[in-house]
Parts: sequence; structure tokens; C-alpha cells
Amino acid sequence: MKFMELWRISNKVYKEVSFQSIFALRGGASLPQKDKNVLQIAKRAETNTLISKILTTIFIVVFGLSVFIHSIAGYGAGASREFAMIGGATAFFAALLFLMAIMGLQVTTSLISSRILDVLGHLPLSRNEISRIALITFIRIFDIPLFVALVAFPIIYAIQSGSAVGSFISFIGIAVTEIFALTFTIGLARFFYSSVLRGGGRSKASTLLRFIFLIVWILPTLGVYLVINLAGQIATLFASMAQTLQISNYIVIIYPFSFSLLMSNFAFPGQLSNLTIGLSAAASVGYVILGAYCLKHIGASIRRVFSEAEEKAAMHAQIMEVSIQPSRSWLGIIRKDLRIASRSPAYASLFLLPAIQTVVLMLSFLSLGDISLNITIGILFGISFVSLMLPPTLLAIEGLASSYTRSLPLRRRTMIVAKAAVATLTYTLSLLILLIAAVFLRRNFSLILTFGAMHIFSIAAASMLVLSIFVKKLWEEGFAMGNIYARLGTFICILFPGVLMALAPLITASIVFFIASAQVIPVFFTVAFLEFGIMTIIVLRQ
Amino acid sequence: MEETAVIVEGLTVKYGSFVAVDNLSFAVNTGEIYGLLGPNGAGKTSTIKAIVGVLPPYSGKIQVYGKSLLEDEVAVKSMIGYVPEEVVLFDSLTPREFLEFIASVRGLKADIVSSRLEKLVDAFDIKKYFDTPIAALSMGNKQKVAVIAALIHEPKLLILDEPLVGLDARSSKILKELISYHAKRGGAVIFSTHIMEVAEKLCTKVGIINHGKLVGEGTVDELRRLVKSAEGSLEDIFLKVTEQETSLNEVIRALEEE
Repeated sequence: MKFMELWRISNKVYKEVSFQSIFALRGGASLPQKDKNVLQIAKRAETNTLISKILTTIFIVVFGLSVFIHSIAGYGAGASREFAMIGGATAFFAALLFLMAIMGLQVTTSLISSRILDVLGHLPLSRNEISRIALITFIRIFDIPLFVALVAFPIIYAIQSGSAVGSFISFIGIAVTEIFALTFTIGLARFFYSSVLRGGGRSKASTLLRFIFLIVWILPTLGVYLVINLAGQIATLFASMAQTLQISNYIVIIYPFSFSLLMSNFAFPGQLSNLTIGLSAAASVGYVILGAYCLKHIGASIRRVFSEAEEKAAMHAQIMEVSIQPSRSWLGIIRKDLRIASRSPAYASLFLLPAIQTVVLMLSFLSLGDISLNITIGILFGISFVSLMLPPTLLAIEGLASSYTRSLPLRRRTMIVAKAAVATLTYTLSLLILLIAAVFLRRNFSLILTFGAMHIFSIAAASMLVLSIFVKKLWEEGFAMGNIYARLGTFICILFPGVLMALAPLITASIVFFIASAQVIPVFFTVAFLEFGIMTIIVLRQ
Repeated sequence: MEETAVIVEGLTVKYGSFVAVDNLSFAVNTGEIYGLLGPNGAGKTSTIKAIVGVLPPYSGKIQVYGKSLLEDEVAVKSMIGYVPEEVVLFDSLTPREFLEFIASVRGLKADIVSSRLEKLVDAFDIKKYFDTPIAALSMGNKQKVAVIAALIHEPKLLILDEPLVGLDARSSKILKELISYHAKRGGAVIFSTHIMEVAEKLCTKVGIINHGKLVGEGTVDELRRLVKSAEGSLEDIFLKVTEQETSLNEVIRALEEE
């Protein structure tokens, strides 16, 4: 089959994946409730996907390039310009790899869950053609970010270094990086659907496997966080690592140093030995060949993800007994949410975000002396903002089954309390991690911990507020949560009052500090506790 | 003694400007199996979703065993066991975990629910899939999980939207027996199906919906009298009442002439 024909078919698959993402938003069977016709919804789905791609592109370009620009801006401080460029380029490749991988993980879930390749399997298409359609669809989902990353960096590199050849090598390096990211994503997805998903409930081995997998899955998330928070430090680190090249040649052959070193050779000729250049060139060629090999097999891997998921998941263990252990309804909701989250990496990583953020913040503050009230408020705002992303996620877990959930004898307040408890507990865990780190590092984090502990009330109140608004929409307007993040407008509007509520004690404390600094703690506690009290009364009346 | 289990009065369900259910009224008594019939898109599922509280009605009144759905939603839902037309459950959970969640929400005790569950799981033959993610189950097995979830709390009112779709012959037979047994024990059933033979054999009363309106209601004999056909099957009655008989004959003739 000709490429154009495959392209045309992949367009249908791509549109279906987009449609399914918004279909999940509207709760399946209640789809037509607000929309006049399906064509309108399909059109909106395409627009949503486009917006999502543009946001992804901005995210990748801004954070990816910020790493590179950081290194160039600060080259005078420690490293020479060529090593700063090597460090910056290496950091950009690494950042791009992480960013593309994390975006890929989200997309793969949508692609697999759409089960669209199942439909293709019934058409008169060869396995090879289905693989190529899968690959083209996967690339189409990413097309704008892939293309922009491919073009933006070489242009900036050419401007900064003045080397056209160096810029061209960066283009190849980025292409290889993008292929590696897609391969990594598909590899993880294949492992997940073939080995993790099949482990249902009770097997300890499956539980352990799931846990290990989630850690692996979360690594790119951690990578993104490191890129965002420690861009400057990463670039400096890579630059200093590059400088050790003069001592050791082994690092030359390691991706992505091989590319950045080769680029640098054309930008700053005569600075590196022939052996170093030769080794980096050979390694780069090797990575290009490896990239080509990966590209050739990505499509087949995507196709196999479907078949393996079916085959492995269909295997069933010997069941001895069918007893169940019901709990209180709110606990039942929490158990259900945690189980679903533990099997969906996209959700599980969000659970760990506050803890990851705490670790990142802790690393950032290692260089500081005592933590002042201003810094404390900044940190608490950061952790609480990320924690508030959790309540909508916990509702999004209901997904298409939200229609079924609404048929159950469930009070709104039960659902709100259960999910708010999980969000608050996650925030509390972040503080505990900070406490452990403080003890371990022998640092005084007492201000953060004191205010953080009081802020738990505010976080619980803000979570209840956000959840109350979402649940009202879910109950009264048939608004299924699905992938709420695709509806950024609604998402932000609902999240905003919650953020304000979480912010209220922090702002009040800042103001009181200038008027009567001794009263900061009682005022902070009063505001947070009042918020909690008011929201508890409101929720319990639902 | 017969009691009114469900009262639906002047129910209207709208999707934007489209009226899916138009001023519909009917009642179901205890011990009755009420068959809700109608062509595709007639408004059966919308009616059922409104009764179970999934779709907010535009107007009208719904009462289950004397309790208003609008005023006491949780109490009404506690009395209902519901099998949706499109079985969308939590795919990543196993049937065990899903039923554990349902039992928790319904406030059931472990010892009571486990013995009941054992019987249902054996009856529907899904023990071997009990720890397999729902996503990996066939459509029929998912349907069985949904049926068990609807029966686990021994509801007073069973509402089943096309429950036989995807079920194998054995499970289908068991479900039909369970429905009859439920009605005989004094429960009530609202049951939507496209299989006329099943409706004819199982339902004690039938309501035929077309374009969101109730166009015929009664026992099969009463409906026969309505369409003035002494021997017609429920399928014939259905086609007559929904005014599809003439157009159907034309379509068949056109296909035969090809």
C-alpha cells in the first residue's frame, strides 16, 4: 500500500483517538445531553487535540530551551564557552527525551484504550501495513511538538554557535532523541499491558511488578520536574561533565554527549583531540543506526501492544474463593480510587507529584541557610498548588463509569469526603518526606513543617471546595470527568477558587507578619481552621 | 398484597432541544415484570436512566416504593438493582474489586454478601475470571458482572436495560429465571429488550414507546385486542403499534425484487 493511502487511513485513526478523548469527557452514554450533534463534538475533539499539541510544544520548547539558554548565559561563571555549549546541548537532548517520553506515556494510554487498531485488524490490511498505520498515527499525535523541537533547537544553535554543520548535527541528534523517546514510551506501554495489567488483584508478584513498573513510569515525571526546577544546575553539571572529557574518553561514546561534542567540534574547531572527535562521530553514527532500527520497529511494537494486552490479560488464575471484604462507603471509594490509580501510570504519577516536588524543593534549598517565612510561604504554595491538582484527577478516575457510579446510592458528601481525604493525605505525605529529609540532612525545616501542618486544614478545605464544584457538575449536569485536563478552561475556572482558598492563610500570614509578627502562627491557624470548618459544614449538608 | 412499586408521571427528558422522552406516564406494581419495548432511539434507555437517577429529568415525577427520586435520591437508588444497556464498568478493576466497591457503597456486610455472591458467581459461571481485570473480559462476562452487581443487595426493584445482550444461553436462561423468581417473591422488574419472544414469555405487562411517547400498554392479550389481531405475536403487535408494519413490508419487497 502506498504511503499516501496509509497516511489517509492514519488520519481516520487519529481522529478517532481525538474523538475518544472527548467522548470520555462526556460520560459515554450521556454524550448527546449537551451537544446538538456528534459532528460538532468530533470537530471540538480535533480542536482540543490541536490545543493540547500546541501547549505540549510550548512546554517542550520553553523548558527544553531554557536548559540550553541557561548554560550559554552562565558560561563565564565556571565553564568555557565550548563546554557550556556542550553541556547546554546535552542537557537539551536529555530534557527533550524526558519531556517527549512523559507526553508519550499519556498519549499511549489514549491510543491503546481507544482500541482502534482492533478495528483495523478486521480490514484487509497486512500486519506490516497495520504497524505502519500505527506508527504514522502515533507520530501524528505528536507532529507539532516533534516538528518544532526538530527545527527550533538547530536554529538557536546555529545563531549561538554560527556553525551550519553543528546545527545540522543537532537536527540529527534531536531526530534520534525523539525516536528514542517514542521507543522508550512504547516499550514501557508494552511492558505495562503485557505484564502489569494482567495482574489483577491478589497476586503479590503482580503487585510488586506493578509497583516497580510505576516507579519506572514515574521516572520521566521526575526528570521533567528536575528539568523545570533545576534547569541551570543541570546545564552546569553537564558542562562540568563535558570538561572531564579531557581526562576520560569513555563519556564521549555516551548518548547524548556524542552528539553535543560533535556539534561543538564544528562550532569551535581545534579544541578537542582527534581521538575524541573520532569516537564521538562513530558513536553518533551508531546511535543514528540504532534510531533507524527503533523507528522501523516502533509500529510493530504498537500493534503488538494490542495483541499482547488481549492475550496476556485473557489468562486467568485458579480462583479458590470469591469472598469480598466490603468496607464503609467512603473507604470503599478510596480503595477503588487507589486501585485504579495503581494500574494507570498517568494517575499514579500525579499522586506522587507533591512528594516529588518536595524532593526537588529540598534539593533546591540545600544551598540556602535558614528557611525564612517568605520562602516557607512560597514552598507551601508550590506544594499545595500541586496537591490541588489531585481532586480533579480523583474524579477523572471515575471516567466513563461515572454514569454507572451515579446510579449507586451514594451521597455527594461521601464522594467529596473520600476524595478530599486522599488529596489531603497526599499533601501530608509530602510534608512527612520533607521532615524525614530535614532530619537526614540535619537542616532546620521547622517553619515549613509548623506552617505546613496547619496548612493541612486549608488544603482539606480547598480540596472539598474544588470537589464540591466538580461533583455538582457531575451530578446535575451529567458532566463526566474523563480527561478533564483536555478542558482547560473549565478546569482552571474550577481550580481557581480552591487555589484562592489554599492561598488565603498564606497571604494573611504575610500581611500579619508586617503588622504583628508574633501573631502570625495563631492567625494562620485560625484562618486555615475556619476554612476547614466552613467547608466541612457545607459538605456535610450535601 | 399488590403495591405500586414505580410511578412515572409526565416524565420528559431532553437532550438540548431534542425531546427523548415526552410526557411519559406508567406504573409498575410489585410482582410485575414490566417490559419496555420500542424501536431504536424511541426513548427506552432515557426513561430507564431517568428512573435510576443517571439522567436528570426535564420535568415529571418519579416515585419508587412511595419515595420520590428528586427528594430522596439515595433511598430510591438503594432499592434499585440496575444493569445498564452499555456496560461500562471500571475496566482496570477485577470483578472481585468492583463488587467489593459496590458492596461498600451499598453498605453490605461481608458475611451476608459473600454467601450470596458465591451463589451468583457459580450461577453465572465467572469464578475463573474473578481476579481478571474487567477490561480483559468478553462482553458477555462484563454483562454477567453487571448483573451480579445489580443483584448482590437483593433489590426490591430490578431495572434491566437489554440485560440479555451478550449472555450465553445458560446465563440468559438463569437470568430469566431469576427475574421471574424476583417478581414471584414480590419484587418488581422493569425490563427493556428487543427480543420480542423473551418479552412475550417473561413480561406480565408491556409498555411500547415510540418517539418518546407511550403508544401502547397492557398485557400481550390486551395489546392484541388493541390492534385487533387475535393471533398476532408480540412482534406483530409491536410493528403495528409503532406504525412500522407498512414500511417494513415495502422494504422487504424492495429487497426481494433486487
